[in-house]
Amino acid sequence: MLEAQNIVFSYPHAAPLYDGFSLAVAPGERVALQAPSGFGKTTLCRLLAGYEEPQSGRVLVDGEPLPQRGACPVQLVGQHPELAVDPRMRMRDTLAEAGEVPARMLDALGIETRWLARYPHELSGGELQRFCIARALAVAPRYLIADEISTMLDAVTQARLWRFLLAEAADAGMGLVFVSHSPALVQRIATRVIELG
Amino acid sequence: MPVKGTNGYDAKPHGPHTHGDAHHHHTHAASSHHGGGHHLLQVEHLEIAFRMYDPSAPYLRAQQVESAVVHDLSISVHVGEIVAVVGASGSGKTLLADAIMGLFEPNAHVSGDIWFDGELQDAAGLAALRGRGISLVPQGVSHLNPLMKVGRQVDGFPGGRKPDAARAQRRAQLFERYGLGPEVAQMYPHELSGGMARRVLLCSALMDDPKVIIADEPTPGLDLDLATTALADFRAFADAGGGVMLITHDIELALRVADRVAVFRDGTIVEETAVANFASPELLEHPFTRELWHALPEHGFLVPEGGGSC
Repeated sequence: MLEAQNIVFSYPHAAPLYDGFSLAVAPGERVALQAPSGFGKTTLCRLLAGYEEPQSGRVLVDGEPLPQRGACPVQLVGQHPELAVDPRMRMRDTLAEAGEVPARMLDALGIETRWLARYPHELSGGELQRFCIARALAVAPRYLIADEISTMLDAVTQARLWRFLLAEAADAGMGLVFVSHSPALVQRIATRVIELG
Repeated sequence: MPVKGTNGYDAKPHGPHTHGDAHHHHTHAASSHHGGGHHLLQVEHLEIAFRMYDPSAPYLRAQQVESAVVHDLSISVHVGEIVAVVGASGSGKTLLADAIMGLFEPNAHVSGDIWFDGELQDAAGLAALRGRGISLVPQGVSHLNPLMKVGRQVDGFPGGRKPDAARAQRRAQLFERYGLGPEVAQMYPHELSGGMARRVLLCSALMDDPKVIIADEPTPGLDLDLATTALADFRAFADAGGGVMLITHDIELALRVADRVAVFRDGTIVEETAVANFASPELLEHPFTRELWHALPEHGFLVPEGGGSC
């Protein structure tokens, strides 16, 4: 179970985004977060994955706080893959941040071998996003947080990506929390929708 | 680089034709028509190649090669319509916009025909039309100068001269029409909300009465309802007799606001079709367009057999 308990969070000099917010996601669930622009969906994703510390309240996985060392059991894939990779590292080294990435996963995501020697600026947003997903899944997370991960893709690539993710999640019993602006995509994927607004 | 008439394609004024007919690679939507018997903007057989060193050769022995990124691309914009160019990010859609604006990289080789309002253009013609016949609306506030007050930027510097009172007056009218108060002219870009910034960019594009607007991903990060609202201004421009080319990766958005959709794939446009044809896959001609239709979350979310992985 991924739990957020009584989260309080605000950015400096701004009204609180969350004041006593709680959420629980079971393994195998696919939860869509919905709220108007600027409500703090991305911030909530970052809180759940340990990128931000709540000012009060906690985030727990199976009753334990997120570990301070090692790969986090909650992995985040964001909306801007170009901001999630080191611009001065070749993609091979970026992937290696997750340790050994199975060749099966690279194949399934359509990552071509010749891309491995490239730098991030030599790949398109959609191509980079596949690396970010491979890197996140390679550490076998218990939960995956997907924040608008397919907005930069055409519809066919989007469908391929989500079918792959859903199969991986089902195989591993992974829980999924995701944000999408597309009502049709939410309806297709979510087992539960949470309206934040 | 010169944009030359190379193929003698009939893009000149031509007689009326029925709306269902395919001509110049496309069919019409109900609201699109040929003002004066010609297309407002027509691109025929556009090719864009970049000269670069052969990336597969050893570093010191690499020869220069030409790498084609856009090939045999044709698209047209009619009076009164929004044409959406839909394709994945990074697939080269912005190169199309650059070519129409007459912005060519030094190592680019561009050929093909671009007709504006019935007249064949060359590179100098496109440069002269930039902002005056064809205007670009860029993505967002980052395209404004952060150190310059908004009003001054929208006034612009025509021909390097100081902005004159007439331009300031024109800007004030545009601001009023798009619901921007007079105080906005005195603001810096960081003081604008996202919605205000979009309107400022639109006003800036409209300063010299263009006939065609090219909007490059104007709605990133907006949900569908907000994006539709933002695009109402483009709708109004089209309804008043202009033409809009909306470049976007979001096919759901395109189907919601556009009259026709041009599907961009692998450096070319594979099909130009009326939005109404997306009601059923049988009405779509190109296999990739049909794949897109079937892959939409509301239509089965299907992935084509065989070809490629994720």
